[in-house]
Amino acid sequence: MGFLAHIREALTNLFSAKMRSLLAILGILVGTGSVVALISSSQLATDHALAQFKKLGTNLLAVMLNPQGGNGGSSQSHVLNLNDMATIQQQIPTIEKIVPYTTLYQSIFFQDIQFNGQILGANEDLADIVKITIQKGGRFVSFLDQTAFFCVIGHDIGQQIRDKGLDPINQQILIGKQLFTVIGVADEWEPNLFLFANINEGIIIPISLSFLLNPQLQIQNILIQLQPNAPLTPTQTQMQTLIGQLAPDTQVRFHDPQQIINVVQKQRSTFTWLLSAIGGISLLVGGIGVMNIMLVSVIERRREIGIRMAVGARRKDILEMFLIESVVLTLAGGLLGVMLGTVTTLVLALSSGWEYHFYMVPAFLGFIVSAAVGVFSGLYPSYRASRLDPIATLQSE
Amino acid sequence: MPSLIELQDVTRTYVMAKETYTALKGINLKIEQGELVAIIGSSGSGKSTTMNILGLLDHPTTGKYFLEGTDASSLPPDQIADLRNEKIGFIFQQFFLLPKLTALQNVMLPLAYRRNHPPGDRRDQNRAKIMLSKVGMTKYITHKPYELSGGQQQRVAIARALVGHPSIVLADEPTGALDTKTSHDVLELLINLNQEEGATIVIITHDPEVAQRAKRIIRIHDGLIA
Repeated sequence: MGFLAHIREALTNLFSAKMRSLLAILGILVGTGSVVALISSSQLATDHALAQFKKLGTNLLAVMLNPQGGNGGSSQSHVLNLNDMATIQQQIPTIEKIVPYTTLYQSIFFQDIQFNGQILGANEDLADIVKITIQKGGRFVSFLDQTAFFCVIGHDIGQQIRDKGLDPINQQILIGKQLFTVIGVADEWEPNLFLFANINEGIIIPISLSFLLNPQLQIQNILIQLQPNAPLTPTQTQMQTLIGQLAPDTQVRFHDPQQIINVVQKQRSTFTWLLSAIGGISLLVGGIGVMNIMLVSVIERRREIGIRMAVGARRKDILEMFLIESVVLTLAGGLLGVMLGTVTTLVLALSSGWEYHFYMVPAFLGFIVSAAVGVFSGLYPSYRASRLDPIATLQSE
Repeated sequence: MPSLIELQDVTRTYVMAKETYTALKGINLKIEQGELVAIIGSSGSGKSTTMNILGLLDHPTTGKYFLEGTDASSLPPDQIADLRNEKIGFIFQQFFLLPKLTALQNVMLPLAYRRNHPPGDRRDQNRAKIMLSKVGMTKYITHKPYELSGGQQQRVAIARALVGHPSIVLADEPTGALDTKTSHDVLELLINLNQEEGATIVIITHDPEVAQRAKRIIRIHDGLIA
């Protein structure tokens, strides 16, 4: 019997028991749907994160310094200062910009409001590299503000000052024991993987003043922008060597974009596997449901099997007939599941503000897996059907 | 020239939960091309077992079954299925049409399972239509079985039995579920097909009146030919 004829018959049979077919494929539908939705949306989420990250440029390098690292450290050993930064930039030509920043915590007051944010010591290059923009009427702290008690406040702090009906610009903010004048308010800032600080709730002051607020403060973070197309690894090696000469006890760690992308992707692949396992379990349960329905169908259609055998169907023909029916059933579930999963992903993307893409791989995977479940759960019932004794089936009521 | 059908010392013993039951105790039988044979016997006599063995639905415990000279008693299941498809046409008391298929599709069913048969829906359809016209069912080819009377269903079943040009048609109580008038018509149709088309027909029945119409009567009693 031809393959198409088999499929036509399978469809006829499945349609004549619509309710049962629908219930049978429910498990497959949910299983496929969740696999497709989960894999697609985790992919969308990752892509979203990576896209954000790539906006900053892939020629960035984050350097973390640990001055007490090395050989146990000693208080006499030299720690890197702002002059060393200039030296590093001079000696390594592939570095376009070297942007050290410091972080510290001090009490922050504006009139009677206390803020719990972080204080960052930096200059305008930081704003440039991590894309901090300033609202109209203000400016970022500059290299030239080394001795001026100016500060830039984060978006959320600016909002709180405005809530009191005041223009934040030129207000005085008390940081520790020093008063700083607000010269700019940052726009809302999207966190990224390079800068370990929350700018929205923080205050940025000139880096030289940060050492004034806390004399023990050391530079622990440097952001480096490389020349376009500059090789990453040689620059890292050169820096390692140079810092080793300038401050031998300082431990250096690098964070480059590829490394961060790899971490994100690795997390995603773990996540994907986990989700696939969950989907797999629901497909297994769905498959058992289909097997059950197929077994019932075989028992109900004993006479039909006997008639087909009497007119000359081989065992293989009977096997194929039920197997195809089972696969058509689960493929229908898979198709509905892929649709459901796609719609779910779309809704999820819209509500999370991710850019939506249709991914072929999870959809294709959904079809393949649902067909495989059809074969898996149809095999035993079909085998049983093909082994029935025609006489017994023709005599059965 | 071998006989169309030859049973040699065929016995059939069933083992059911430690008890054995011998349905056939040594049947010897020859049926020639073009015959119209009635096999009669009371219920439990072994006539249904004989029919099952002749139809290759069952196999002898001992003895041999030659179908057109080939020993069919020792063939593997696939070849048995193919022989059933090519050489044997069944007519059952309960018609046994597939309820979801139309009369035409039911008649085409044996052709769908034919090996070395080039697929050709149109040609198979024509063959089935010709067969349906021979049994007087041309007007009903798109009807489903439940839309047909018992006599009409049996006519469709007869068309299905004959569509593949089998060597032998086995009819198991073909009129058993029909009223007298319809029984008569169906029997006439079978006799006609035997005479006009030369179909070899074996009718298994317990009805002496039906048997009277056959050219030859074989009585089975207690597992033996009487």
